[in-house]
Amino acid sequence: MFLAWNEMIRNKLKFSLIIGVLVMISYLLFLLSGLASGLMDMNREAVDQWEADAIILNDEANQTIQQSMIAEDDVENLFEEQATLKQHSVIASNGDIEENAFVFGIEEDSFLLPKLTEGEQAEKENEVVADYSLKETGFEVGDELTLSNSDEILTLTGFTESAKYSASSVLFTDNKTIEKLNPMLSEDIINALVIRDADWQNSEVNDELEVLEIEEFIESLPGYTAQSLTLNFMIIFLFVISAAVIGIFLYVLTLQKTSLFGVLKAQGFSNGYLARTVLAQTFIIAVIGTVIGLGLTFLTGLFLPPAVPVEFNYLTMIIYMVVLIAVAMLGSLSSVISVRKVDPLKAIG
Amino acid sequence: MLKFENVIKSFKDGDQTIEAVKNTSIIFNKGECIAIIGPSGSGKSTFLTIAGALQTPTEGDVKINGQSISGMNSKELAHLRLNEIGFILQASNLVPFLSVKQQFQLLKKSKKDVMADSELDELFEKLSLKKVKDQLPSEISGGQKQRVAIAKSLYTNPSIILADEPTASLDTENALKVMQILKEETEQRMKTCIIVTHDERLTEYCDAVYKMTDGILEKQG
Repeated sequence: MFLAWNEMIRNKLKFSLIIGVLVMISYLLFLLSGLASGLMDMNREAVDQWEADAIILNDEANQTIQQSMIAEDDVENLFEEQATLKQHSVIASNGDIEENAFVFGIEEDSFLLPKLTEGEQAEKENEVVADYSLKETGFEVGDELTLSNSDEILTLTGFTESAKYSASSVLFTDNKTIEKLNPMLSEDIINALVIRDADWQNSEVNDELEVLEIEEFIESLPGYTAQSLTLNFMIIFLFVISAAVIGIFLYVLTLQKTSLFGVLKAQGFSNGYLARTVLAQTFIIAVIGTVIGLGLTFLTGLFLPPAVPVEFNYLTMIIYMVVLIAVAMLGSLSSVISVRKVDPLKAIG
Repeated sequence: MLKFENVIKSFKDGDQTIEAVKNTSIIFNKGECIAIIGPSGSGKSTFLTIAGALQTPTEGDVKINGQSISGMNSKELAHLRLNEIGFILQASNLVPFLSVKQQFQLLKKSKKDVMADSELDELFEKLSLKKVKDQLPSEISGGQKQRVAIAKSLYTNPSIILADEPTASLDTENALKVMQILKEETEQRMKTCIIVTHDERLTEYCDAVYKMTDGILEKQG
């Protein structure tokens, strides 16, 4: 550490440039992971809020709620805790702003309704509460909402925690209101049944129904897996590129010090000591670079407009930071090997 | 004590085998300052690198304070060099990004039984290095660099000091001053000092002079 640290202190410009490269890589990585997390959340936020174990859909619905029609009688009292869900997609407008949204028709006191954060519950027909994302776009409590495919007018009585579904905002209302918006969803027809029951696999449902584990259902949301795979691949490639870039930089630095390492070896410094010096230097560079990258990411997060779907998950960030440091250390292995090969005889002429 | 027993060092050069050091047996005792002179390519440096445990002989054995270096692996050789050998090289062997004082701190991190701080201060005083101890190698003169190299070679309390052209980059005044210091320190601290040089002016500071010709070492005078 002594040799590594002092070399960095005396060659500030050189090492600042290397740290700068790492800052940019980690900044890009953290920002991308925040965007990936934000995009994933946009699709699954509402489902995550359910804290459910499984969902029942019609077997022929290709795992989508909108295409699924179930007779409520078929699924009555099957599980420990269950909630019916009726869903209808609309374009809602308050006169100034238009927004794509899903209307979720739910029972009174249903666990599908997220926590209310502003205003009051929708208690009468044609009253709705919206998830927080609609407030961010400019909707307010008391707004009268007109819909693209219905003459009904809905009154916005409150906002819940953010609970987007399939990248759209959600309006929560009672079953009677949603039946008016979509007459196909008559009293005994629902789109899905959401289950909270750890033992759900042991319950039998009829052959026309399909029970999906909640994670499997999320993965089948339109575009979710494609988006998630694309962003995760970008993150993986960034890790690989980081290892290569850091590896190349350190290898060049080590090559420049071949004669110094040779002289030190002649003086009796072991391969182990010199390898630890290279690793210590990599560790210092990686830690400083990723910490600054992380700081810049959070700073950027403060100034991003609400429309940008970014969500910084601290645990994920810390894991990525540790992986990036580990990847940097891995990248320095070629330098460690080259240190072993330095011949003190050649170095001292 | 450094002992060469029937040492031969040969290299392959294509189909030919070249003997850089021919059958040599010799003993260097504590407190002795020895000069090895000879033309370029005569085998002086090869002799010095074998004496310094940087390479092992092809035949025969070298014993440093009774320890045979034949059969030692690179880690054992490095350990032996750190503990028993002090090198003073032709080119400055200082770490460019460490101050003079830090050069010694680095050695202390690898070897515990080094000179006490007060003893190092005395050595700095004697070698006129006190004023430059916070300076980088690039900020001091050639003579000062070689004096730092001498101090470094003594700091780890080695039993043998090996110097390869220690005055090559110095003017006459500085060269003779460096030799004077080397001679005094060797005697006072009971070290074995072997100096490889082209410069015959330095031999008057040595207890014995050997000449290397085509791999054969012969005592002069």
